[in-house]
Amino acid sequence: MNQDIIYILPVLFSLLGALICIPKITYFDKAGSLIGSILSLASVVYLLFQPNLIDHYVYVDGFSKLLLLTIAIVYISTVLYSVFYLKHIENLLFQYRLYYFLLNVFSAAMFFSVTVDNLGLIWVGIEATTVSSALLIATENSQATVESAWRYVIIVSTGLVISLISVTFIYGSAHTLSLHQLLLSHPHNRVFLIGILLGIIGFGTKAGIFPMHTWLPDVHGKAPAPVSAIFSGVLLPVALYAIARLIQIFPSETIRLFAMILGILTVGIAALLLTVQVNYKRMYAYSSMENMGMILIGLSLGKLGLLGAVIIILSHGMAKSSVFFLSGDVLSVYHSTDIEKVKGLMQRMPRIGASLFMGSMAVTGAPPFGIFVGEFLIFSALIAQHGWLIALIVILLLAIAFISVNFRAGRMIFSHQEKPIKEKTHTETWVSIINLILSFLVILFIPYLELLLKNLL
Amino acid sequence: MSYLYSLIEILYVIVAAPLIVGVQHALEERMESKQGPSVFQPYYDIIKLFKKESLVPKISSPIFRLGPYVVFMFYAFLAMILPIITAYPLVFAPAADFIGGGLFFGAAAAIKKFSAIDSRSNYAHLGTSRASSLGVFTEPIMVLIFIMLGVISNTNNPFVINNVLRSSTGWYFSVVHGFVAAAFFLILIVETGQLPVESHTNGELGMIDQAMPFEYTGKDLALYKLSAYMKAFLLMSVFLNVYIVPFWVPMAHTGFLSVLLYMGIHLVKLLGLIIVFALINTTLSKFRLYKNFDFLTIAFAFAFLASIAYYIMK
Amino acid sequence: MNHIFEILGFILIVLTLLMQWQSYVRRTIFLFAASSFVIALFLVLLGLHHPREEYMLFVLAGLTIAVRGLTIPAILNRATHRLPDKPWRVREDKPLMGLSGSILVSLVLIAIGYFIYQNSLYSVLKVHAGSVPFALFLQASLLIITHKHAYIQMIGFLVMENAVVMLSGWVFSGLPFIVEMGVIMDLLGLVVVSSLIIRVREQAISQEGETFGSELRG
Repeated sequence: MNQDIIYILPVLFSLLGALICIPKITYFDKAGSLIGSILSLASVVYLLFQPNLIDHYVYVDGFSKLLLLTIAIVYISTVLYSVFYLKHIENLLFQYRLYYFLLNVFSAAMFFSVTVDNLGLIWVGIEATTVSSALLIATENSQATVESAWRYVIIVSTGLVISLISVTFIYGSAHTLSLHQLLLSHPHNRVFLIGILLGIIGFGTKAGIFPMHTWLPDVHGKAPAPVSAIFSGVLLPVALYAIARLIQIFPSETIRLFAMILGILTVGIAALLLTVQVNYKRMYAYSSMENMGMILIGLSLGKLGLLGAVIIILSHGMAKSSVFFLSGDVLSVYHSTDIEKVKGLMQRMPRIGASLFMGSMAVTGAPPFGIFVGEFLIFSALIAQHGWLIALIVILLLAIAFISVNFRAGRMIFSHQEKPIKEKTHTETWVSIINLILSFLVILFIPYLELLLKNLL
Repeated sequence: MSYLYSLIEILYVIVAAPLIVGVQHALEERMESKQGPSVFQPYYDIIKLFKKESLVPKISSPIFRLGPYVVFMFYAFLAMILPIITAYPLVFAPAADFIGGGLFFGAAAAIKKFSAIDSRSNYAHLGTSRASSLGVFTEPIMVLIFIMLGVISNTNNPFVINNVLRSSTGWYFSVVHGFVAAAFFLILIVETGQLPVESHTNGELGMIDQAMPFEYTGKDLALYKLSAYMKAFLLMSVFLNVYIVPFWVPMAHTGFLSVLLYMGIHLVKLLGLIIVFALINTTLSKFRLYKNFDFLTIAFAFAFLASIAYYIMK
Repeated sequence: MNHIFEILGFILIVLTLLMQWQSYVRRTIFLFAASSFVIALFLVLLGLHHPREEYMLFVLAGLTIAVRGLTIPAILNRATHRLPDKPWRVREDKPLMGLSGSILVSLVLIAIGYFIYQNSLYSVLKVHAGSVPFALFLQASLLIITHKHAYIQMIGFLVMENAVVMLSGWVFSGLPFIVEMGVIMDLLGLVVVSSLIIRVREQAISQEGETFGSELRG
């Protein structure tokens, strides 16, 4: 039990941050969030060098550690960015204090979800992320944001009820919800199978996987930039973490195929919808959906595919959060999310323009970035297991997504504007640039990732 | 002996039916803290109407004249074949089973509508069209209810259903029976013209059955009213004796006295049902005409749930 | 014992049908509270049925009454007082389909739930009348889909949760206590948060009409 404490430190530290936000004293909210996020990042880095721990309370293996790391990095960058960005939002629905409080609780819930050993508690953690993040979406008080927050609550909660049913099925047929006991028991009956399938659909709702993805573009389009960033960067992968565990528990052919088909459909829908986007935040939301589809395909393939999926999770988490931060900067200057109305970004704000271009390349899988390597690994696994045809279809879809995102981003960035006014540089751009660099650096650590994921590969 | 019982049954129905209606009206007025009419008011009305002259519209055909007599005859016949005071079939009972009884009710309603149309009065036409459009939906629900009872008892015989329900607590407390009874109760409200569906006023916007006999006078109207009372009485008796409280109804060869005694018990049962109706009538307000169909949907829902429940619990 | 569970299950189905029938929000909230009490009764009976776990189940029944039966309806009721309309006038005014139609669809969904359960799960689970929670789940989804008023959608979601409690208790032997606790706490948090969101949303819609138009499309 004593060494368990080390493994739940990130949860405790972010809750500590939330506690500091409660008293109504100036700067306590910002300071508390910074303290909480820095401490949790430090504890996560410390955890990386600790052995895996699997007992009745926590289940921390390499995969969990990597997710903890991603969450911690995106968490600290979101806090840093919010400190500078929130003043751009007019017409707040509530005070800053509540915003930071919810942000810390939200991160704590995500840390909790990837640490616990109990499938039911993973569900509780993921539902807690819904509770804590619903108000964050509606930080800016307008009818559209509130409506999108409401859609988020009702669609995601309904999806999570499906996964609660799946948890019930699993408990009913295996009589335990503990991950390590489930991994040992290998139950093979139909109830268990149906339970896992329902779980993939249910948790998939939260991850923006195909049948119930409709909340995702609404939320990402209307939420404030830091919230979109943390949603896209880590919330969706945390939901996929649950799916990954489900696949790991019962790696039968049916389930793998089911997950892969859902993944391909998600990529397909996202790629097709990307071609008609007029709103850059929604465009990046669909790009997230496409990446989640790729991760799901990777998780369903296992082995190399899994490694690829983890690389995408890390790299996408940082690159996409950086892109959303930058889109927030663009929004605060142009006051519009229409692609048409954003012109001459490069002339007005060269640093942001260049970073946004690099970010768009990164999230769509351009070669030097981690996502490219991840997708490459997934393709090699896909070709090995399912042949060329399916791989070609997926590559075609990715190409469509790549062209549509980068074409539109290029139009925003490199278009010519008469009489460009040079804006003064935004301090918070540094957060996005650092994240972008981190996203690139992921590829240097691939051998280390392989080492961490040894038990899964 | 059986013939004697049948005769007693008809007389009992004819005599007791207006009394029940009178009691209900008096109760409702009392509940609203009003003096209210005497419980014998329906008798006074009918006797007065029998003494009066009947007028017939010039353009009507003989159907108009014959209508009330045929309808009265139908209900008198139904009184002999349904379990009103005995739980065993009397002489005429083999003439029709439950579905047959339902068809007789339907036939009586149809003749009523024909004779109402034949009066050529606008109000009668209005009432007829309303009554038919409701009837189109109530009758399938009735049939569904009868089918579910047939499923319970494996027959279409109301007497057997009575015996099954009073002897088997399993069926009596089953969900299927509960749903069938609930559906029948809602249909009863429609058929006897209780409040959420129809109020006892001649308001043009809401009247349904009140509008049909607008052109009848004198003896014809008296018969018409009497048969309406009998219809309500018969349906309520069936509801009580077969569905809700199938107990104490005299079985075969328990003697004349028990039948007489049961008449009293039966009136007490009816009194209970009437108190419920009076409560509904004094608390609820009338639905808009088109909302009646939602009401029927709920009745259908209960009948349908009964059949689903039967399969689920099988 | 099973017989009583079946009766409770059908009471829940009828309550959900009545929610489909009602358009006034406060009555719907009342019906939801009633169905929560039925669920609590169900848990108590389950506790009497499984003597080994009764202690936990009784605690859970108490929590269900406290949270689902009293607190959540109270929060929702209080939230209706903050709307521009008088609380008893708050209602669904633009349902997706007519009342009779939606009730009939709800009935069909009960039948569909039965057929799906009977053909796919009955052979494995061997639980009599196990299709009731599935039917409830489908009915609750219909409640969400056919209504635009956020309170009724929220209640649809809560009914779904109740259906899961019923499913886990009846068809399987219930979830671990700690998970149930977590679920109830999450539910409470969700209701508090969403009653705030709903209030802002309904206020805005009733004052300005729906203005977001094309912003949330595509």
